[in-house]
Amino acid sequence: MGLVLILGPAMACEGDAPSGGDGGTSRVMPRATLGGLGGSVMIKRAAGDEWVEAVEKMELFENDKIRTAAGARAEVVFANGSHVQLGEEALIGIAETQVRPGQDRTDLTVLQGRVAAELDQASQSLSVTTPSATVRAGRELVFQ
Amino acid sequence: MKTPPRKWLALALCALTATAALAAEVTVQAGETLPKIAQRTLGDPAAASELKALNQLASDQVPAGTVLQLPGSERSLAVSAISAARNAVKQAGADSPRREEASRQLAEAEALLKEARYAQAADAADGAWKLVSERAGEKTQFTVEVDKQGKTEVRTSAGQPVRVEAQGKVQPVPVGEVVTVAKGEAPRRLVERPPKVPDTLATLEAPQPLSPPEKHQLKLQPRKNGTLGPVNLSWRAVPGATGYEVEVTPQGGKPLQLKVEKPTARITTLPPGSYGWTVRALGEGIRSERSGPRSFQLASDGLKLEVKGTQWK
Repeated sequence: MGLVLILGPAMACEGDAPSGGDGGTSRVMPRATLGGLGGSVMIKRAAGDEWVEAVEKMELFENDKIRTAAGARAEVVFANGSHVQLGEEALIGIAETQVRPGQDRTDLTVLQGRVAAELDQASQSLSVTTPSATVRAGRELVFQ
Repeated sequence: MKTPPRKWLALALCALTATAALAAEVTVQAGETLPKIAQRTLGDPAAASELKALNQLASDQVPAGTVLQLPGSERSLAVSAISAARNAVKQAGADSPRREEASRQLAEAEALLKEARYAQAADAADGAWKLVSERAGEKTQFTVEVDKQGKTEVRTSAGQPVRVEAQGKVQPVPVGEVVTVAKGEAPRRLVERPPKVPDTLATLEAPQPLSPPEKHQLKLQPRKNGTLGPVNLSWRAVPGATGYEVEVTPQGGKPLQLKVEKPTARITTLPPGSYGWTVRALGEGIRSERSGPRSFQLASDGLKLEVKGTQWK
């Protein structure tokens, strides 16, 4: 079990759709999928140092970063079905799955640019963190 | 070995980082009870029962040095779902036909949470939520924009309000509204500047007096009581005006006001003397500025001709 816990994220750091190794006993689940690409869209994997060109249906894992150039666009579809469209000149990061004590869950970090999100109020939720705020939408939000 | 050593080193580093981030285990410290551990790791002493179930413990007393497994992200999803279901049930009217069933499912979800059966707890809570929530099936749309200074702007365009949190404050963003947050500041609702309300004094043109001419002396036959009249005032009609307010002020005296519909005013009697007067146009809830002051003098015509009857034919 310990091996699974260590190897899973480790392989995710490596970049390409991770698998649990030769034994095939575990596989880190992607947090989202990238699509709707237009223009120059680059991705940097969690453990990578270089930006590489994104391709359609690319799986996204925690701590991956996506950057769109001027005039570019992309769409991130999360595992729960909620999706986020990235406008031009945006820089976002896929948040960690694991919630740390004292911290709230988040799905997406927007460092710069504009994103447009849509989700089903009944079954989906989305949490977006920025340098100055956290935006929450969806199921768990019921205002008094 | 097919994999180069550099790659293995990278893998190991990533593994260490990822393991630290997961924090899937905790070591019991001396004197710690399960509620204390639950408070320390999950922020809630009531979650002790979950740790107990998750680690198959028989007692709340755990020897120091024991390594306990901590719940993963599925717990936060279950907790969120239960929280939403609690609110939805609370807000459902007492006469809501599904409230009873929702309450039953919520209680089931809470029991499953205590047993650390998080996926089942989330499902049960979702069921309760859907039973009483009027919002099921709606789509929520919103945008988040971050500028180069890190300032955030959030707009909700459809569905339910989203929530913006910063500096310990929470600001809901209903459809059509905008909330901005500068770095290190609390969320601020951006009030769209309302269209400028037209200056009520400027929407109607001030009337232009016509008669009597400025400083004109009116000589009138006095009445028996010594007063003079009538005095006729007139001014140019103002487009859009529904009436006029005339103010006539005797020198050193109190002003007299009267309202008329047409651009003329007839004052039946006035004592002799000097008078100033102004007029303003009136509209629907608005009024113009006063006209420029005008004055007239009212004097008795001393040459009173009394022609007596004569017998001459």
